[in-house]
Amino acid sequence: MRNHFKTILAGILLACCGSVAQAESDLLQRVRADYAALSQAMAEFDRARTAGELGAAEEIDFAGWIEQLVQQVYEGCRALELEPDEPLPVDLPCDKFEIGGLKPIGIDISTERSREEGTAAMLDQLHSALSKFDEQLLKEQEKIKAQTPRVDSAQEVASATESMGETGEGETGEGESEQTDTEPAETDATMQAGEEDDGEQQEQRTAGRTQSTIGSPDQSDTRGIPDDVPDGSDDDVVARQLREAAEKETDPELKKKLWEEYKRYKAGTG
Amino acid sequence: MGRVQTLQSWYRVGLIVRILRNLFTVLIVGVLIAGCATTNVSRNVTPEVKLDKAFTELPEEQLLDVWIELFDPGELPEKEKDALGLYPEIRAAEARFMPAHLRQVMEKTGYWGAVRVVPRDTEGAEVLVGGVIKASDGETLEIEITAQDATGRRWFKRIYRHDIKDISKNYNNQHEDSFEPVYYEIANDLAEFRTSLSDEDRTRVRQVAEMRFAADMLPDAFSDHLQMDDQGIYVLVRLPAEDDPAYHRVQIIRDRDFQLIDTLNGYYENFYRDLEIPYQEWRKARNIEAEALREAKSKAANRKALGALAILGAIAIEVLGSSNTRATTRTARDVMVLGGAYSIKKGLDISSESNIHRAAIEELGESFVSEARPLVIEVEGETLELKGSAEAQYKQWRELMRKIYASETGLEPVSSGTY
Repeated sequence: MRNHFKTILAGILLACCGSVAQAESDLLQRVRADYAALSQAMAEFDRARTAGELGAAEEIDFAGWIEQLVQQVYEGCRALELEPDEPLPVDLPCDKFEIGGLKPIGIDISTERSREEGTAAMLDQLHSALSKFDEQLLKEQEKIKAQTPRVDSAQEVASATESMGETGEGETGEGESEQTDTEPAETDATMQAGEEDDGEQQEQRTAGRTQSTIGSPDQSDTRGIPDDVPDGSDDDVVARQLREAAEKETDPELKKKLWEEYKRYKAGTG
Repeated sequence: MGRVQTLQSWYRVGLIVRILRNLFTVLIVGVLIAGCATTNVSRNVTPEVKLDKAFTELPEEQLLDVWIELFDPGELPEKEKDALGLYPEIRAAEARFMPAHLRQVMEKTGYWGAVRVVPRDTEGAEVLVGGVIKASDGETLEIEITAQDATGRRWFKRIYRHDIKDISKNYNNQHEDSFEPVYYEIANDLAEFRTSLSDEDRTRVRQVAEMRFAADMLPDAFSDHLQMDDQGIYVLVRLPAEDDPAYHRVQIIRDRDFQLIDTLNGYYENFYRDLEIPYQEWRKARNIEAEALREAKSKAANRKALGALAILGAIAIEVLGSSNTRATTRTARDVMVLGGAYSIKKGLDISSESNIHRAAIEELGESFVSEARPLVIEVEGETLELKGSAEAQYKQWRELMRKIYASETGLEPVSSGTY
């Protein structure tokens, strides 16, 4: 009976002590886990940065996460300090985290932040310079458009069709300049957004590459071409612009006029 | 006797040596001519040449962009009579006009991506075409064309020449250049070389062009992606990772570079359109006057020769004929002398007519110069200003890119090589 009592008492004591120990270990475990995550993140950050694997945006995100972990460890340490009769665990460098602190020993976060900020500032500067350049090019392109070359009547007709917005895919630089009119406004966004914009520009250039083949001779059919229209195999630049304009025109009346103009022009040059 | 034989055998040996030496000289000259022919082929372009166009639309990845440099205006003819009415200002205009026309012709073929006219020494082309005007007077056009790709591979260097035979036929079509066959032939040769390349070759050309631009913009990161072999050809060592942020930024700048080229090209297009009609009219008028001048000179020379012959004939009869002959041909001799004198006078009159044609050619040249010069100055000013401004900005971007790269990698900037 005595032995049984002793066993029950020991069980109660163990249970009580166990619950206290369990409560302490939850906090400790969380701090330990946070600190382990922090150490691992810092090591990975250093490695990736040295290997040049981080982009500017990624670096900023990474640093932000490290800051968050530092904050968590700091708060965990402060919580442990507030525990009565509970000494700070020796395996955690809580004493090395400054009060209010985001500064664990071994990581110069302010330096990291200033470098990130410096990179971001330079990226902004580059982006701003590119935007200015876009604006300058846009002005130049408007100046080019504003110049009115002496053209003969046939070319005037072609220009007229261009101004109808039908030859935006023309082969000259002007055609392409129209496509880039929206650039400066778009490039005022962040660098990342700017980079996305430039993906579009790449597409435009790619489109530009294929534009020169649009006028190749053997692809003009099934576009509402009247029977009496000659094939465009010997089209010159003006004729091709007229032909393209006619093919793309959706207004039947205007389309008819454009085809007539094309035929008249071809008859004049044939 | 033995001495004579020795002398004879020495003579034979000497003869053989001379023959061998001559043969050797002929051989060397032959080899030299053959060598020149492979590197600098000259050809007379016939009017019948047709422009080779792609039958089907080519896939985008097979298209190469072509940049045509402003031509080198070359030298005017040394002989005064050949340089009649030709001026450096006209050549300067032609050096801008001809590449723009070649551009238009090449765009019609469907073999190329973007075809653009660029200032000379512009870096970054996938295919670069250059030209030197050897002769251009409205009747004859001779151009030396050089083409090479971004890897540094020389496509060819050839001289194209075309002489206009029939003025009325060649200058009546306002919508076609009188020397269209030359441009067709050049475009055909370029297309032929392009077609001879494999898809892999073309892809490599585009990649090398990209990497040369990247290495120029950010040598610290990309200079080791290319190497030059002992033939002076760029070899691709490796490509950057697709998600390389530094390379992505380089591509962003390259897009700006393309836009700059498009804008410069816009100025050259306007210049081309402004000059097209006056240039064609000048060439036609000069051609007509030059032909009239040739005819007048030929007529004058014939008349003078006939007159001189008639007078000489009369003198010969007077001197060599018998008294009887002199007596019976007296009237005929008088007629011969008078006719000869008249013919010489007529010849001199026609010579003065030649002077009128000569003056007309001079005047036509001066008149065209007065039209072309301001256009050249304008386009040169606009393009130089834009290019200069862009170059200053590229310099600034290069510096920023280097700093960003150093900041991102923690590496100190090491090189500043240019590709």
